[in-house]
Amino acid sequence: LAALAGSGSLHAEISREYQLKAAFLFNFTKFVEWPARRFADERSPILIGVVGENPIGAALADLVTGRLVNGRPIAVAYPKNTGEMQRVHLLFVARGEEDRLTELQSSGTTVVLTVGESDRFAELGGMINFVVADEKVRFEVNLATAEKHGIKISAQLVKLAARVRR
Amino acid sequence: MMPRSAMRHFREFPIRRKLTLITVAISGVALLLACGVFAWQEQANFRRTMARDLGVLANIFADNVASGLAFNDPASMEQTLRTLAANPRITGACVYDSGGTIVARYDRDAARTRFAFPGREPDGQRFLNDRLETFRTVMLAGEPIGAILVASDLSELHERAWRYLTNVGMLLVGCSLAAWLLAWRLQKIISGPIVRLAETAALVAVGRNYAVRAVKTTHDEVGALIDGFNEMLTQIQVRDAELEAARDQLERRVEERTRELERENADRRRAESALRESQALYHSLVEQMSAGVFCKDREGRYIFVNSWFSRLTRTPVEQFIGRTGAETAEIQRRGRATDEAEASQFAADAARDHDLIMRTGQRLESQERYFDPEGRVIHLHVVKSPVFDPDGTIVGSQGVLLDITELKRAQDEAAREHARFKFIFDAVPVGLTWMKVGAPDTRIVNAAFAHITGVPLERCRELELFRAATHPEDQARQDMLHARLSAGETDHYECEKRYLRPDGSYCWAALSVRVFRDVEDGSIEEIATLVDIDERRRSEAKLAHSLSVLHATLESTVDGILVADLHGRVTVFNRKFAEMWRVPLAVLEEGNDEKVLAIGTAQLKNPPAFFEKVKHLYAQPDAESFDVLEFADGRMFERYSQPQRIDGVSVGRVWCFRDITERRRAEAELELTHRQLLLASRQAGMAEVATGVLHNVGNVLNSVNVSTILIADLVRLSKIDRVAKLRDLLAQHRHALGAFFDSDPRGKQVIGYLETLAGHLENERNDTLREIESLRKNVEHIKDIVAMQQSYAKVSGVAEKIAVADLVEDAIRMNAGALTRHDISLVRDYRARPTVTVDKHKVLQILVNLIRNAKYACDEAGRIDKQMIVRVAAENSRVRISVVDNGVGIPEANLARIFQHGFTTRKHGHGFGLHSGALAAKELGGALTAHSDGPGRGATFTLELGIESHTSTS
Repeated sequence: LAALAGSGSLHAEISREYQLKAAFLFNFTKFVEWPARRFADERSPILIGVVGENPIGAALADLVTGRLVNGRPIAVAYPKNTGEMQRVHLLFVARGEEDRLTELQSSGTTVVLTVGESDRFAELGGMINFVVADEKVRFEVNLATAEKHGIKISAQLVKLAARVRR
Repeated sequence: MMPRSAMRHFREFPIRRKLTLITVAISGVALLLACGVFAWQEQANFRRTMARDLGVLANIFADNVASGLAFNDPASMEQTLRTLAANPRITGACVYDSGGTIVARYDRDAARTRFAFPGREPDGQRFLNDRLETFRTVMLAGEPIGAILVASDLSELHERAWRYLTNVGMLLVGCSLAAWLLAWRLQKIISGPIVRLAETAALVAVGRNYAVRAVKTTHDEVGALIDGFNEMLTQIQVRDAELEAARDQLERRVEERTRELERENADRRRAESALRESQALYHSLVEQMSAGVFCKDREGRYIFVNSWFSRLTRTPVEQFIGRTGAETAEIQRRGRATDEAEASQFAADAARDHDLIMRTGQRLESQERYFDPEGRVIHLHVVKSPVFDPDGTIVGSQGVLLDITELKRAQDEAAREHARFKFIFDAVPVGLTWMKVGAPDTRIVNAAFAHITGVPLERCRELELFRAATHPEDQARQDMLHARLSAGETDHYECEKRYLRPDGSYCWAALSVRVFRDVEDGSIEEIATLVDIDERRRSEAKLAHSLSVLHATLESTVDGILVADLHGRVTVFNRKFAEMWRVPLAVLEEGNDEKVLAIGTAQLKNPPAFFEKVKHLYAQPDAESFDVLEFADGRMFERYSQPQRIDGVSVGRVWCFRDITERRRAEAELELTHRQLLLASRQAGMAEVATGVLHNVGNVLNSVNVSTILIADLVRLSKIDRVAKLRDLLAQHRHALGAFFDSDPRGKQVIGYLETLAGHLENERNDTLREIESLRKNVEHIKDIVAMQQSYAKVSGVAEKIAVADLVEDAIRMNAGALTRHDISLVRDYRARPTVTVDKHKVLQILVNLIRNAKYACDEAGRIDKQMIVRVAAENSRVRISVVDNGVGIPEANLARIFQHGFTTRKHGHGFGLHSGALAAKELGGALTAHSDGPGRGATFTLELGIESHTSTS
């Protein structure tokens, strides 16, 4: 019984962490500027892709329903191949799915804000990487990669980063 | 506005000062107004600018904290807010999340004071006392995500206001000074001529000099005024001369007239004062009288009533004045009898009386009845008389009403008092007589007196009759006593004397005579009482007789008797008492109760107890007691005490003593005999138990005997000798055993024979062992029986706690052999299993006895289904052990005698089994009872014991 209760609370812990990360993903869209060519018009949605088995997708779907960012709705997608990954504006690569980032990178120039949650992801050249320090969710920013791909990350966001690579 | 007093002062100022002041005031007010408007406008502008600046600042910071708020990073937001320190006017700022909670704050004076951060407000700006607050919603990507507050202090605003005030003050002082200097110089143009005219007018007013004239210098309104003033002075001079002449004449005339008037006035005042004094005296007299006074004019109209009259009629004085009696009848009715007719009758009477007085001038007196304000009847004496004028003509009538209620009441009371006295005097059973000495005609005598003396009531004034009725033997004595009274040696005497009856008998009476001398008129009254004491005299004689009988009785009884009153004092005793208690007669006759008690107490075995008892009984006058007193020398008295009562009330205590020493001795001997008998019976009982035990042992010994014989037989008839025969056979063929076994026909059978023999020998051994086991068991049984007997043979008399069931079982076991022998089926019916604390031996003795009796009863009945039930039942802390048999039963006649000593129905019975059983049961605090429905119907014996602990009393 005690073991069950323990596992229950562990589960809740994971959920809270991913709810927080989902909120961060949503907020990133407010501080990031994609080249205008990535959108058909002023009201085209921002697509957030999630790869890997992860509860973040559900949390994110709850969060973005009915909300607009600078007049754009948000949609959540689960890309199955490189083609689909290239279509999203923001791609969340769950831990253990870092190979997908490599796939995306090797597919040519893509204007996708990549967000991950592992050291390996950062080493592979992911743009924003979640780190958990002191039980708090923080993030690192790789400005160089982002700028190389034509994605502008607001100084407001950069100043909140735990670490910035230029 | 100037205060009123300042205004008054201002009016008294000279004109030149007024002019100066007015000028300065006007210029000052104008200046103040102008400065005020400018200052207000300046301040409003500044506030607007300040609010705008702060609004811009708030907007910038709202943008700057948006990311921190979005990513819930308070550190980042606070870092941003800290840049506000560059602006020293900003006192505090904070960031609210979308829920209104403060997530980051900046406080300029955090080190000294704490900024009181308000809750979130809608967007906008608020000027508070000491600060300006600006709220802005933080928007991110078109979405509100929180709010920011920036608060600025207002010190700069206040500093500016203060600076303005100082400048305006200084300006005002400077301007006023300049205005004053100018006004002071210029006012002289207007004030100069007016001042001079005023000086001239003052000269006229002070010096009454109407010859002076003012000098005209200007031709304006002041010039015209000076002309008019001069003209007025001229006219005054003319008028003054005329007035002077007229006044001198008038003064003389007025003086004369005044003197005349003063004389007249003094005369009149004296007369009026005298009149007032007399009127006041009359009025106060009439008002203070506790009598009603009224006065009517010719026509019968009231012209005066006093307050007493007004109170009596409960009508204000002014209601009477000017009205006739008839007119006030309605009013009067309230004060008099209640009904209308009576009221009009009063009015008519009053009118008639008035007419009569007016006509004849005669004085009328009558008595009238009124009700006072409390509704009590009051009686009035009314006197009505005419009123004459100085010429002797009747001009009206007057009346005086005197309250005579008290007098009336006193008269009535006296009459009643007399009636009461008369009744008592006539009805009292004591003879009473009263007279004035030397005047026999005044004598009154009541019926009792006449009855006792035998002198008829109507002849009570013939004094010699009383003397004649006196018994001749008492005459001389009474004459002597009466002579002393008459001589004035004493004022009273009492004597008991006899009065003769016509039939020659006489009756006793107690006479008491007393005289009262009137100091004023020297008359003497004599009062005598006479009480019939004949009955008492006869009772006394009877009492004397009764007493003599009582004394004779007291002296002839064998008991010692003492009677004491409630205080323990000896009132009656007899000689026997003195004898028994060895108290000298002299001490008793002396009535020295303490000494009697001391002598008695000294002889006793336990004086304090005796003393307590005596004290206790005296403290409870209604208690009776009976006890036995033991004397130190071995004597014993029965003491019986009973209250002495008169009409049910205790007045003393009767003590009765009887010497029971001899009786007690006899009883003690009886008790001893009884105890010896009891012991004998118990020993006998034990013998019976022993017999039972021996019988049991004998029974078992029989079995032992049988077993022994059997074993002996078994051994004797043993097949062991066959082995010997076989041995001999084998010995014969020792040298050719092989041939013997192979060829000899007997040799061939040896093996079969050996097998059979072995079987026999084995059986033999088993039988022998069985018998030996039986023998051992029987010996054990004997050991048990002997051990049990030993355990019961122990010293008895010690109470121990034991289960009733165990006791019963032991008793049954001790009879077990007999029961089996006589084929009696035993039924155990234990309905309870209580524990008792008893002398086990005694209970066992009783139970063994009961079981044995039941056995005999069953035996005697000779029936086949002999049955005995042993029952144990508990109820209300008592245990009942019943032994029920279906034997011969007990005839009703025998039931009563069954526990008597020596009663038995058995041929060999001792007749004390049940008797000692019953005694033992009693000693145990229990009871032994028997019940039977009659001969042949069985019997039930029940031993009842208390479950609570009971110690043997023996």
